Amino acid sequence: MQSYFFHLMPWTDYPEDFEEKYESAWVTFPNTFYDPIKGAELYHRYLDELEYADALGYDGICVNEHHQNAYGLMPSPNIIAAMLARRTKNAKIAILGNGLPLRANPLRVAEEIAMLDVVTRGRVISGFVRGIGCEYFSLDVNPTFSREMFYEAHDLIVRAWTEPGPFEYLGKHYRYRYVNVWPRPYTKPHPPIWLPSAGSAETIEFAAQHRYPYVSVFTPIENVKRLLDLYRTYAREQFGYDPDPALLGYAPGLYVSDDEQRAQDEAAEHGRFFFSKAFKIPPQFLIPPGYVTENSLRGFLATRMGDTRSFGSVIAGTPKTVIDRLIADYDFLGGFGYIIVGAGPGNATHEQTVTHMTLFQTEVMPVLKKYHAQKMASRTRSSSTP
Amino acid sequence: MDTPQERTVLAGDYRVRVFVAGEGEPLLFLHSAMGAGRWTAGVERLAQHFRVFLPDHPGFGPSPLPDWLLGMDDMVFHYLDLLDGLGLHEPVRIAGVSFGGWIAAEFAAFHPERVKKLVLIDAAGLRIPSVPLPDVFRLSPQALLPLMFHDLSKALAVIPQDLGPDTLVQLFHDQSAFARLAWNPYLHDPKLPRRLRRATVPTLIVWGKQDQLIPPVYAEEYQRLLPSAHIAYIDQCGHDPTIEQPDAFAQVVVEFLR
Repeated sequence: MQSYFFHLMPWTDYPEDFEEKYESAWVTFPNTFYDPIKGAELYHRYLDELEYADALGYDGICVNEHHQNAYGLMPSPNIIAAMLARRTKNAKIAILGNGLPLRANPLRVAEEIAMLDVVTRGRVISGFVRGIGCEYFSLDVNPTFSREMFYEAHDLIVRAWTEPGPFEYLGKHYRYRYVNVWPRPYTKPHPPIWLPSAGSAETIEFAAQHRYPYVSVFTPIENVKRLLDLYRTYAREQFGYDPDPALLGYAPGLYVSDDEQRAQDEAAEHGRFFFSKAFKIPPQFLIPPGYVTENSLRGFLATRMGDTRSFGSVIAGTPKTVIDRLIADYDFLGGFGYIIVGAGPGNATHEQTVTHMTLFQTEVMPVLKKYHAQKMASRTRSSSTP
Repeated sequence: MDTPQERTVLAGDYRVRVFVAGEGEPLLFLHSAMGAGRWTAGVERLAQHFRVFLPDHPGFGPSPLPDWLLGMDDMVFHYLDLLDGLGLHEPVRIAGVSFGGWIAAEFAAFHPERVKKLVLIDAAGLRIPSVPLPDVFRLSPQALLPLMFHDLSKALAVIPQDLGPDTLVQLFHDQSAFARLAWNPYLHDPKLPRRLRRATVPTLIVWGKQDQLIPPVYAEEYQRLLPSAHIAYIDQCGHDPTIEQPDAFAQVVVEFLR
């Protein structure tokens, strides 16, 4: 069982009249509300928190990519990963992920990840995502090509990492006479690829096909179970293998503090901030035309996409409470091999964040690791029994 | 009124739904982004004088969004195939509204020899830098409809009665085909202005005087770029005269097309 500490690098200060006056924290929220002096403080605070996660013994630290918004200030996750590369020692640096269709030239993703992988001597996890709907407005990329660009860029990057160059690549969206990436990756055959997703069946099938670790984000536990089961079903029935639990992750809303009531109250405050400010997104921004398949759209409509209830509840409390909930979730989900813990949405203070991440790694995680190890051992025993 | 007859026509290797009604000279009518399969009051009036063909654009209505549809040139080739599929080998009258007007203008620039007369109705396709267009992909229906209709009560004609999943998925389907060609460059083709001088066919530009989606200054821009065009403004009218002022619309269009 592995633990990953995830940072959004959120903007913290919204105008008083934000909720009445602005349609979203994304795409159109004026960047005049960004203060670079405050921004410098925040970047350093957040980088300190990510570095502290390495010192605490988290197995990985996670960064991600979002554009032109106050929700998360990492338009280039590879730059943040580069800052962490030589300041951290042990933790994997998980980039969750690069928005492939958002890169006009995906060979640059192959190059940048390879650089990071070589510098860190193989501590990089390369997540690939499509980005949320808003990015297609913010970078003006045609959302109707999103899925096919994603798959094509993925294939190109994997080939660029694994096949001797130079070779020619002829695709629908990308064409190169010379694919010949220097440096080649340190990790053989290539850095691990993860596919974090909001949970379309097509993405899960793709992940299961390639044996990529899968984690669904922003969804209630019943839906997480449905999606993990879908992965297991694809793996067994279509691709002929029994997925190792290490392939399946869990990313619930989590908040740990040393007092039960304070944990509940602060988590509720963070939730209000998240939904009323950072993740205030109208449906037109969230799902632009052609961004999802019609099949997925039906799924989203059925699960009330955009409704705050569709995100699932937050697990908040003292380490004891959180351990109990996570063990119940573990059993309900049929196990998972890694857990992703978030740093909070933008009104969590540095002190709250440090308490939360410390308690999780030092008190919750050891129990969860032990529980997982026991389950794995009994699984091995039962599967070896004739 | 004639109930339009629904047909399936093979355009090259791609099947599309075409509604047909009326007698007389053929008129190809190209629908707006929200108008697939909608036999508007204005179109109905045209069908009293012409044999009107109202096809779905590729990716609209029941047709899947084709892999080959990457740009306006593919759309132009599709309409060459469709005219052949309909047996319309002689120059034909073409009218188009909004997105359909844009397609009609492109078609006439590439193949003026296939067009007898051209009617552009509140057509997209051009961009005047100083006159921005609202982002139809960003706006909610509540924000968009007042820009499209001068008399908002006329919007009832386009608002679906039932907003269940089937309707929402169909709207998304049509919007996706529209976005395929209209997302970026947004609602225009930067190459079109230079090409329009080749659209030498007699052209009528029809424009709702109160169109706030594509304002009337765009009618003047089309007129400036086309060799042989004049403008008929329709008063008390927003973006789609075929819905909002069908009589006034049909009067000027029938007179021009006769």
